[in-house]
Amino acid sequence: MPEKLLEVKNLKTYFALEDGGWAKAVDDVSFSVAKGETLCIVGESGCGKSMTALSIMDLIAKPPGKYMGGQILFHGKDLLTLSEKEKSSIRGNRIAMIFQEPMTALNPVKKIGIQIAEVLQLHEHMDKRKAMEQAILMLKKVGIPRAEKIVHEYPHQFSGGMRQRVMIAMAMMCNPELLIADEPTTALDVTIQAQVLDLMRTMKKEFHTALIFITHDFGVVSEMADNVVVMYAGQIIESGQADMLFERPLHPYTRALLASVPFIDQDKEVLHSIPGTVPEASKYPEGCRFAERCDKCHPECRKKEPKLQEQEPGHFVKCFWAGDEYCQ
Amino acid sequence: MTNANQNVLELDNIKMYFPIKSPFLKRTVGYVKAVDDISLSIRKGETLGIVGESGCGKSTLGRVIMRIYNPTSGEIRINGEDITRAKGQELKKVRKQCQMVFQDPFASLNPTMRVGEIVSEPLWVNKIMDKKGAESKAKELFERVGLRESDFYKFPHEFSGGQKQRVGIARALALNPNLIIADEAVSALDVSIQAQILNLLNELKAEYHLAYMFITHNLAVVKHISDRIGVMYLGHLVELADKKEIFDHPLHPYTEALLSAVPVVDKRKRRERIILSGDTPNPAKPPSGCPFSNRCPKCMEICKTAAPKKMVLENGHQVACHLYQ
Repeated sequence: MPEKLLEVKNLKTYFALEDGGWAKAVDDVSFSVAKGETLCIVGESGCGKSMTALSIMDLIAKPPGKYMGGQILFHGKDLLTLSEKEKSSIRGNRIAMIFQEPMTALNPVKKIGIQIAEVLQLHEHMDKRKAMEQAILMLKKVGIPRAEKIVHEYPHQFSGGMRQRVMIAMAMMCNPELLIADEPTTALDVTIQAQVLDLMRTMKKEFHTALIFITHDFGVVSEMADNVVVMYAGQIIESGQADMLFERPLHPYTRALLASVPFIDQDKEVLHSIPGTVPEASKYPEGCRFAERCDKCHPECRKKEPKLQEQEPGHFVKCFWAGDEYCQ
Repeated sequence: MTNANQNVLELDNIKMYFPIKSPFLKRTVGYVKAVDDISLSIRKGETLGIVGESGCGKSTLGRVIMRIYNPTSGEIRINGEDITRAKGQELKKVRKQCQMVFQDPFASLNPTMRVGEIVSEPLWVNKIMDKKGAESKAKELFERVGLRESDFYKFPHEFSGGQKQRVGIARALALNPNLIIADEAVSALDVSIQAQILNLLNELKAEYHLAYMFITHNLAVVKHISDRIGVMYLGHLVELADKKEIFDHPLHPYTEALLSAVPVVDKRKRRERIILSGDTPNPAKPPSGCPFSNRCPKCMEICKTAAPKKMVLENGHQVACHLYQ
């Protein structure tokens, strides 16, 4: 078993509602990431994948957000119990994050170079000139032409793909051990997406960084992931090695999701459609949360909640019928 | 030219140039050639997919057909009738035959109107029915697109994205059009909802004998829904062919790169990836010669100076590239 870099144990991130209830955005989620590994978190919008990432970075607004339990162990140390100062020494330094919309993540009134160099000035106490030199080197590495000139430009002068490269450069400045990427290519065109994915793979190899990659695109998952976690309604419903999961998806939701997406390499007469929508985070039904929309639903499913169980070595499923012929 | 009666839509050399004005004197200093010399046709009951990356002019093309923009030059014929310069009542008549479904269901439904009114309005505005008749027809449409009758008096904000898109589709269907232009109609939706809407569109096509022009950037979606596919790049239609032909034998280097860039689930079926360098050029300053020349892995000397002409192969496969001339 390779060394665990990050281990999330029974994490619960809830948000207080005005009526006194809780929206259970992340509800009892556990997973781990080994050194140099890529873990993909997949799911539809509102299933809690971004909230899981933001919890790791501790970027949840509190209140209304609150950690209701669990641990986030980074090198065995619980991030949730650290002081603000200790946290900032890890955040942006040993764990970095890339966001979906680079335009909102970059400061529009600061020059690109200053924003990137700032990371080194802050975390490694480097002087400004040296930091700027490093910034230029890193921009060249992520494939930005005319890096010496571009450091003096502002984010609005860049295209979407270039901005995402700048974000990657900024995230890699301190050589992080873990990089969290939240839908980094969703806003990009396919040819640009291919460029950025390619870049992320090269950077990962060069810096031996572990990667948590959040996406809703199964094609991207298959291309990037070593391991996959499928989320639904704030919970993990299936997890395992990428190859295993694509060859033998066991949870009805994973199966339905794979059948509902048109893929370029497959011909489907009719797309499978999952009836209904994801339940709201404040109104989860009793029992299995997918029961309402599940074609294998059994009266039992509406009463009792299944546990995440190991069906075959390394393949976990949260369903009563998983692996059973019921599910075929 | 195929029999004109068989075509719902014919475009001849459509150009849509937007002038760029200088800041102070308001003189025209150049043009953005959003759509540059595009000719195509859509047969009855056919789905033509138009794919391309952002800024390639695919949405502009859709809007030109709807006459939301007036084309700079060229001719648009719907059911054989020239509508390029249609005005007033005439234009109203055209729009009965050709309706549009938009990408953003939040922005394309009037937030102060009840959805029932939104769907029935086109019927009485066009004097097809009185208000009462329009209402019952709208209720029928509601049922057909999978909305409940109780939804009839709700406001758009009370619906989810997928349901709003259903309202948009019901509105487009109300006038019994021959052609529906769907501009990124499923792009804003989650995958499970996207499947519901794509299936609905396919069912309606058979039932109402519709032709679609399906504009999207998603190659997997376009492959699923289309009969023929056109690929656009920087205002030009670079390739047009049957779906199978385009996916099995892409000719244009841009189409090849585009297809290879889409991530696939089955690793064995992965195409060799062609990574394009750089971004799409600014449409106000396109490269000289072929619009794709500055990013093309197969660029030749001639590509930098002369624009390639459209070639039509025997099986109807169209391509604009010097490699085949």
